[in-house]
Amino acid sequence: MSTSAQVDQLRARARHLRSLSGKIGASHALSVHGLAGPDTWVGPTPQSCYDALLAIRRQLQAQQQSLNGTARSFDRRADELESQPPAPRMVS
Amino acid sequence: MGLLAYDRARLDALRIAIEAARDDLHRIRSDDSAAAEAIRIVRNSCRTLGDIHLPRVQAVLNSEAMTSGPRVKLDGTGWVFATDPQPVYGPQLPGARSFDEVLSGIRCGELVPLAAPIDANGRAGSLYTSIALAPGNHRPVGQQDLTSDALKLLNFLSDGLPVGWRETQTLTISYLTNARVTKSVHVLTAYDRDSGPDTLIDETEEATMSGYLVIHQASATGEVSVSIGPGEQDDTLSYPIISESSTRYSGVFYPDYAPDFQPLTGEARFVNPDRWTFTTSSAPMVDGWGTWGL
Repeated sequence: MSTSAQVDQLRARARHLRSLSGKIGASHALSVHGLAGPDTWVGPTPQSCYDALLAIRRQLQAQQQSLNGTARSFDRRADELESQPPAPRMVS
Repeated sequence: MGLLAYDRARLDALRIAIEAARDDLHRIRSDDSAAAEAIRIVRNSCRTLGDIHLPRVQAVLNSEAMTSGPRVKLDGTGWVFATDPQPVYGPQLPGARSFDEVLSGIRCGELVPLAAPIDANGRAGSLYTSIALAPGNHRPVGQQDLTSDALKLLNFLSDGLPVGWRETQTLTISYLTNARVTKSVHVLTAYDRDSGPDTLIDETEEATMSGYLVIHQASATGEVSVSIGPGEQDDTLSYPIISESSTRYSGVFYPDYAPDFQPLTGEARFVNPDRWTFTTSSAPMVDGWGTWGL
């Protein structure tokens, strides 16, 4: 694969991962715990539900960070490839 | 059975929000290998919302008290009382889960894993991290033999064959108290597998935390044996003349609370020897290291 194709592929993957992170961030799963607090219901089941929804939020946010971090590393790699001098060509 | 109180309108809004969250997560898809862990978490969360929490909320909304029980007003809001399907034990104490409860907590997403180490994806010169755990105190929670029947049969047959292969797989859960967790940063370059890669000390972070360590261990032994003594002998009485063993492990750590990683300080202090070290590489990068994930 040529360098420019590699760069394009890395950039596309970075964009895709950022878009995925954005979709996770925009999902109701990150805010649903706000409706599960003691204003809505109180008791052992409500408490465990609230804790679990909060845990889901933490997990998804951790994955968002991880996806963004991987996207950054793809972009860095693409930058490195772009900054490399072109390979010398054989002239006959 | 305990009692729970709820506001019908708000609980109905919660039901709708859980449905929307489940549908949002259901629509998130990716075939990129770099997103595999994120997609796994998204699928688990989707299942937890749809299979556990939505039915619970729906069950409370459909309960007897909803349609025929007493209505009690508190501070002007409409509260309804219903029987809580869960016993009134309160939150579970850290480290008090049984083996099955830990597995159940993992499946339903209640136990949150430590963020996976960063992978260099095989690119020379890229940064990657390793996570090392040095337990302060270590309590076994339980162990399960995951060796398949076929491997058990092979193990049995190896007793009577001149060339044998023995393989076992176990899932072990331990509760680590005040474990020192070190997140080291490395650069992917050529290195000695015995001594391991160089570490960027300035970027290394550590934290002390307690939680469940789930380890999947696989050990294999290949043997070439000879019968003991001259003449006709019992096939199972043999002596291994060549024996090669290998052990590999993979695992995940589930801390009780979100970790607070801090940069390493230069102060001299006692450091426990690391017992477990993980990277996300599919093959262990250094002898004695394992792979993050189950």
